[in-house]
Amino acid sequence: MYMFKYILKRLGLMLMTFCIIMLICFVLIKLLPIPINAGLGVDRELIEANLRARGYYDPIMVQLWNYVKRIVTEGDFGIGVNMPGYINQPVWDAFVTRLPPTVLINVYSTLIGVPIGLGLGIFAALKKNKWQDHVISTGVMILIAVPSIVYAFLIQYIFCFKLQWFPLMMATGTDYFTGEMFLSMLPAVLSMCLGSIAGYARYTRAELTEVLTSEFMLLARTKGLTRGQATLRHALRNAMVPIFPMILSEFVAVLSGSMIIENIFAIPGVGMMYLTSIQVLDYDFFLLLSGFYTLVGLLAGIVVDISYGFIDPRIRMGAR
Amino acid sequence: MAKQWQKVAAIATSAVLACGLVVGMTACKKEEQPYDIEKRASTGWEDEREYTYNTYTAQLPAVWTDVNTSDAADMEIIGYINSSFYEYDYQYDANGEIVPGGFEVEYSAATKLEDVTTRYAGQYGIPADATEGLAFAITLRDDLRWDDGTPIHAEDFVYTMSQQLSPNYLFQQASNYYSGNYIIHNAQNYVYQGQSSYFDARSIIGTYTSDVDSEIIFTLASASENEEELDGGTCYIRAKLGAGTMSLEQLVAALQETYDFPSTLDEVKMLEGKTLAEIKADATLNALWETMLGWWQTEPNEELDFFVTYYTYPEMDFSEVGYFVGENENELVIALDGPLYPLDENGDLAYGAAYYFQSFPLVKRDLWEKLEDRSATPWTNAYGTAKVGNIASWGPYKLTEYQSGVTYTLERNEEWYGYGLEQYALQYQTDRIVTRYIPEWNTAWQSFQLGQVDGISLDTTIISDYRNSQRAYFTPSTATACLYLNSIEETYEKGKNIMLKYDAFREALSLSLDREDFCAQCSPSSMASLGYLNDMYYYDVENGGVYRDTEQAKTAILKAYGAVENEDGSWTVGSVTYDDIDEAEAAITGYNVTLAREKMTEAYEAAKAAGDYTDGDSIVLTYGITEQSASVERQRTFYQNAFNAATEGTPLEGKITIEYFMMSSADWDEQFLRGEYDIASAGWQNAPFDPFYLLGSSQIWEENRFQQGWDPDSVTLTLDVKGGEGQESYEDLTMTLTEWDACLQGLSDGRYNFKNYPIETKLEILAAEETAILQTYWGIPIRSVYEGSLMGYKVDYITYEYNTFMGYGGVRYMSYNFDDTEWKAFVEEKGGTLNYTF
Repeated sequence: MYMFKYILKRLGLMLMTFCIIMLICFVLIKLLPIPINAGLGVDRELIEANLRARGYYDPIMVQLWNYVKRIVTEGDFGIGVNMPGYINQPVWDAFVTRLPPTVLINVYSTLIGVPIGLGLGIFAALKKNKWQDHVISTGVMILIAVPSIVYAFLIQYIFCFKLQWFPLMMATGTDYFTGEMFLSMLPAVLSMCLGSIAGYARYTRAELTEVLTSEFMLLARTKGLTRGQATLRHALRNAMVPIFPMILSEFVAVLSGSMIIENIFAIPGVGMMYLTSIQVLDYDFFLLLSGFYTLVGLLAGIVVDISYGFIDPRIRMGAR
Repeated sequence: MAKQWQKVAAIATSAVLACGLVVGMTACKKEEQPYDIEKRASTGWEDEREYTYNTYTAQLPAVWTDVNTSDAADMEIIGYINSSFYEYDYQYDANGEIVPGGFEVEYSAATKLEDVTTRYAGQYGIPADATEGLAFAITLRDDLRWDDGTPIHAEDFVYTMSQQLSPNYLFQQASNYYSGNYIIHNAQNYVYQGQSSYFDARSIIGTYTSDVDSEIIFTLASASENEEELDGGTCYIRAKLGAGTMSLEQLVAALQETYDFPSTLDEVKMLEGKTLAEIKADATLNALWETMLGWWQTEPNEELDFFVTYYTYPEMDFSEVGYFVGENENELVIALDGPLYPLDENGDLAYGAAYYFQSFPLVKRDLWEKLEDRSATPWTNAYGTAKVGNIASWGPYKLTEYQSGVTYTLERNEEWYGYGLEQYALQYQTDRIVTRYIPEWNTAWQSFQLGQVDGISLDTTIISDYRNSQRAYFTPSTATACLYLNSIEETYEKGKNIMLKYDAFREALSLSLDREDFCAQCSPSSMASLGYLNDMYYYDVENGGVYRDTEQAKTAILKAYGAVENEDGSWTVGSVTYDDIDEAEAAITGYNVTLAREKMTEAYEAAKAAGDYTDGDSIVLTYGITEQSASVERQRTFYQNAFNAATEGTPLEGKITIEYFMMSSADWDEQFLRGEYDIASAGWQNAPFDPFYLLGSSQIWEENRFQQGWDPDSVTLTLDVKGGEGQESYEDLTMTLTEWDACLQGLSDGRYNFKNYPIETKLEILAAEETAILQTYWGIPIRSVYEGSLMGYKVDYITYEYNTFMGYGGVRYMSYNFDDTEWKAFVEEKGGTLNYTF
């Protein structure tokens, strides 16, 4: 019951925070001058008339009301005005078309990165200060020090161009669950998860090393558990309390940080779209994508908090 | 101790392995010999083997109908799925060789072009006594069909134009038909119908009578200041004075300073928003108004210059527009408000036929109506967007695959009338065009080397390695990149950019730039440029007359950059005298550090005397960029070094610093016009057959010029104007730049109309204008833009000599050295990666 109330409260707060953030985004972007791209021989007044008909020159609060009303009553998030490739097109359609690759790349990145990262971390902790630990730690250090864009270029150059193990770019088509499609996504997935792997490994090693030296581990061993059993049942579970939220937050971070990777591997995702919408001041695209990333971030925060309770039953959210 | 060594050894081993892997993969480079590839001639569309042209784009076309877009990327698809009424073709000599620079105009989707002015005289705004140039009948082929076999007639074009100009859609492209190269009668009135807004009273009312006193509202405020009360309407005087985005306060201050404006800001504010009737009814206001009018008025109707008026465009039926079906179902008639001459004296097609009437928009009516969404304001239409089923083709190719943000494929449209025509024999060998979206150039470059795409633009990072490749070619464009300097005086600050207001300072900046060196360092595929119009501008298309090759244009450059014309006609450039104007022009570089330093000192002394510069002050100039990159940094460093050299040994030595200003890619021009940064690298292009229009519209017209704070009316030119037969000549005619431009282009507000004067006279005026603008140093030409590219081994253009009208012949004339199967085998044979260095 405590948890239920807590979740409701957090959801309510999340909704309020979301609305405030979106309100700020809406007002700030509408305060910027309206960009009009009128070249030689183009009637500027006609462009203005078009924008006026769309309500661009209405007072901001009127625009806000119309914007919310359109979304609620018609599911209409607006039409692209300056977005290259999407001018005069519904922004929602464009968003929905381009969301799956972004989500898939990030899911694959997490699915591959988490087990490898945790595995390496556990292994390094168990082999603390041995050569295996040093090799892993050095690798982790290198991976953390180098930004993912560098891996992306290296992976593309070495594995896609020189060795030709993978295609240079994501395969065409919308059938996202074929072997060919998965293979074509792998370079991008690897580029994105290498940093995460290093992060997971380093964190897991640090947490597990500390837990392994705890007195309760000694107790577990003395009551007859093997080292593996004690590590798996007691040490790992305790170590996961701070690690699991990190996985979720890493997922969110990766989701919002894949713009450049999408560009390099020609992935038709929403990452670049967000960046472009800011550059070209396409209000409707900007607001939809801002809403998406804000919502993902806020939801992840809630999930992280709630996850504590599931991982460690001693933690009771909302309990007095 | 052993553990420490173990740790060090492990780290070292890991690092060595990682480095070894990277170095190993990047260092190995196989020595190769040039490939032995024979260039094959095109076998045309009848060849049954498979030929796929693989290409890439950094921006995928999204709208594939010219009703709704004029975006260059969108035109990639539109160009293939539409046909031309009249089109350019290569000119061949007696041996069947292409004549360099030559062209012919041929019929394609149309079979006839007829001047029918007399047939429609007295209708559609055509004067009853007009005889030519105002109405044209285009006879369409009778076998035009959509890709599903549906026939196309003139009525389809008329329907499309009714949608193009529909006030329900308000398509931006509608203005192509009333503010572009020609004006279709009533096109603007049709699209504006029902719209009400505040417009400048001068353009709406034209002739002043006291009857309109209650209808006209006084305002000197800017569009943004009038946004709420007057829908952003501004008075004519603003445009006339080039006041642009100046606020009311700035405008009044500028008028007081420059034009002895008799009123104060408070007095102007008293009149703001009042009708002339209200002003006249109040003795105080009327006195203010009379004073203001007395200051301004020299001709009748200039009362209107201070006012805006509310106007509603009347409802109109499309039948009143000068675009209709003629005497039979395949005859399309266009009635114009100004004359065009697309036919020569023999009635044959002239270059203007393919230039003005290449094509008109066309949509498939049933599909258009099906996709129309009337619930939105303005209406929207998904025609030509999102999916293959939303478009129809009447060109040589049809869209068969489209994935947003990924790829599109065009395949041969078997219904196209051209397949089977003699004039297209041995052309259109390409069966399929597959375009992949690749936003990152480096990815495209690797894809090109793997044989996956058949051509690529050369990036500055590799151009030095590939510029001599046999597969490299360089395409000129009409663009001249200039450095524009902030001219908005209100944004000047002491210790920052105030030195820009001094002519000598700007001249010194210009003189400090070695343009050849800039191209070598920062833009290897470009060529140094000293004028606003480059070699791509023709003043006489029919006879291949290039403006830059004329004596007038050469004189313009010589005068602008300080050469002295001697009495015997020779020219002195620096200390050398040249008898030949070509040699003199070749000696001009625009680069003179010694003179730059003198000018710097001159500017310093003037600024110090005026209190704008104090010894020790910094000069900080902001350079607008959208993203920081190695290429941008190279340019900034070049300019910084050049400016440092120009100040060496002067009191301004080491004082100039160029800082980055992160501008918005969407709003960069407006930001510059507002004076938010000091240096913009920009340029205008297009209109290659009308240098008169481009120079005036880009450098003089207030709505376009980057030198927003500079007033072209502050520059006067005195020239002799020689008229042709039946035309008046003038001696020592003095006018402002704005007036000269209006006269040269034959604009309605010009004092004279020189549009149809002898070409020599027009060139004299154009050259004088160019010199005068160059000598303001607000816009400093730097380079003529060329784009370097590599063509893959698989395909070849018919020629690599660029032709203004035909480019390189495009897909139409493209030939294949390998069919698809052969190409795959060739790439495999070469180890999967192709070498383009030789």
